Amino acid sequence: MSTRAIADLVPEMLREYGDITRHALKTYIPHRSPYRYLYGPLAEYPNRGGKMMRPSLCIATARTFGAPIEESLQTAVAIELLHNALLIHDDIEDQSEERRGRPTLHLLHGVPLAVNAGDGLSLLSLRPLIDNQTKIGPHLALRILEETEQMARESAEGQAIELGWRWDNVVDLEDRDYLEMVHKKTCWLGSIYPCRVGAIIGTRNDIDLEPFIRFGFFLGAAFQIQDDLLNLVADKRYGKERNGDIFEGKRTLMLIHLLRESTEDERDRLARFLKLPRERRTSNEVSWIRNRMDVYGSIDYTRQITHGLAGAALHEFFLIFTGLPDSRDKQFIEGLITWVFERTT
Amino acid sequence: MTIDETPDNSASERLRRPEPQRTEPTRNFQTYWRQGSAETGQPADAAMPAGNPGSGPRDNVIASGVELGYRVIDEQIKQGQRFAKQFSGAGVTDPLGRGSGGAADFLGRILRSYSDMGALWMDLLRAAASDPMLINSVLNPTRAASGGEARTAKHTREGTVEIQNLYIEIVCPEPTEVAIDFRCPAYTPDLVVLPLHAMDSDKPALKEITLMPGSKNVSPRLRVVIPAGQPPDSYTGTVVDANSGEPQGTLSIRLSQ
Repeated sequence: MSTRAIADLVPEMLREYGDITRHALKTYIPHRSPYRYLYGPLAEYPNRGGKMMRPSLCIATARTFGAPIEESLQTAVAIELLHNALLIHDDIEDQSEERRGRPTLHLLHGVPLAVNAGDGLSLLSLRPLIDNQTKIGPHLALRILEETEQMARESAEGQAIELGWRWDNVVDLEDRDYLEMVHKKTCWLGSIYPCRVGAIIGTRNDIDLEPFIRFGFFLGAAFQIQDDLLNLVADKRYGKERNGDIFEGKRTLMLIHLLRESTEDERDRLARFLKLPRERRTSNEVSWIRNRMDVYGSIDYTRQITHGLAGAALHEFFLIFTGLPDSRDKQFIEGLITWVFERTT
Repeated sequence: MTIDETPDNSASERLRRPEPQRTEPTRNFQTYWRQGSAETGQPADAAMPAGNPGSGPRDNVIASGVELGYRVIDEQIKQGQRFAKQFSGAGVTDPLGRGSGGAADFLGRILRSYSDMGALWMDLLRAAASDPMLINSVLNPTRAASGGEARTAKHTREGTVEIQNLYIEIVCPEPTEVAIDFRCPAYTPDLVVLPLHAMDSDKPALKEITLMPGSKNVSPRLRVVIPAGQPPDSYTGTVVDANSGEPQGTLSIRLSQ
């Protein structure tokens, strides 16, 4: 199969598995009182769409190892529910204004209701994991719950690290710090966990799961850094406010590079900007930072790092999947690595 | 005087440089990446980029990014292992998904198998409890025997019984999903099932299929043996009356892994 054909396969399968997951997910969201204050807001983000990369990766990994789709569907639904729950809380913590092309949930319904909707969604994600026991048996269902516990802990640690940097206005960060944070905050839920639970289902828990940490880390880190890049360079289709990460003072690889490369005066100015509360950060200052990133080559530097990480993901993919029969699902997982660079949203 | 008659060609043969092993810089991207333990024979946690990152600044950034990535993830994996050890006594399993091995692990697996079986039994009991005829058969065994007979077999014409219940026994050495479609409205003691063939004639037929006669109180039994390595596909064959050679029905079996 040609590289072009594999690249076309990725959006096609994201649609296919995304539709299946979305359809199943709707059955887990109650349509009853208090609809206006809980179930309505709670259903907002799942109804807005999304890439559906996480559930698709889970289903595809399970199928690559031979499991029928219905065995991984509940876990895929749980992943998507939890992902949306964390997005609601992330948007509040980051004071974000746009999500998937529309105002964030807390801007529409207020912070208290949004926090509660996020809590509700994360609790709803437990139900499909419990339902797993009738689909794949209590032992595998329990193993997946254990994996879920680890993923949730890693994600919370990653989020805490990033929020802590902003709280303490930490500016002396290195690339290593960023990758450690992204490993926990993004990669576990985004790619490590979907692959691992998919492999557990597909092999009946008869596989060494450590290689999936490496593969998921490189894929997830490349994905996250590309996401950060899109925030600075993408058009309206991206669905979030442009330069929003700079407004939020997010410690991206570009910002860390700029802090490292800039002069002492510039670094002081950057530190002062980052110390301000979001509402006092001006567009002029954001534009200045964006311009400095171009001057010091922070964008190009980050692009190169992303390409290296994606190459490592491809290498780890071959180490894991080479011995398995060729399939559409296997090609999809491989194609995701290059799709990271082609996506615009 | 001894004369060495070995010809001396040193003067006539030209000295040549050995062929160079390569004629251009090595820019093989694969050399950046970690080699798996299977390839290098080294432990996986010792795996680091194999080096040779090229000479340009772009190559250096990519290579150092990859090297840093491997350092970070290997350290994170080690931290995960330490965390797992720390909690291993508190019932938390290894988050890297590897069994600890040994008797405790073996015992744990056995216990889990029993708990799985227990859950299956509970499901079966729940299903049985919701069947009023089954409950009736347990409470009134005498009445149930005649009722069971009536449900199991209904005489249609001499020597022919309408099949209403059929026991199915599948013998399969490896995990396989099996779907059976048995269409044979009437049963005689002389029914046999011919080998089941797949559409693809290269695939071996399923031959060990036995239809065992039932009796007044025992339903007929269909026994299917699926050999190891039988390719997944749909296999179909005819059910015939051995005496008359007349087809009486069909049997289809779909195998998927």
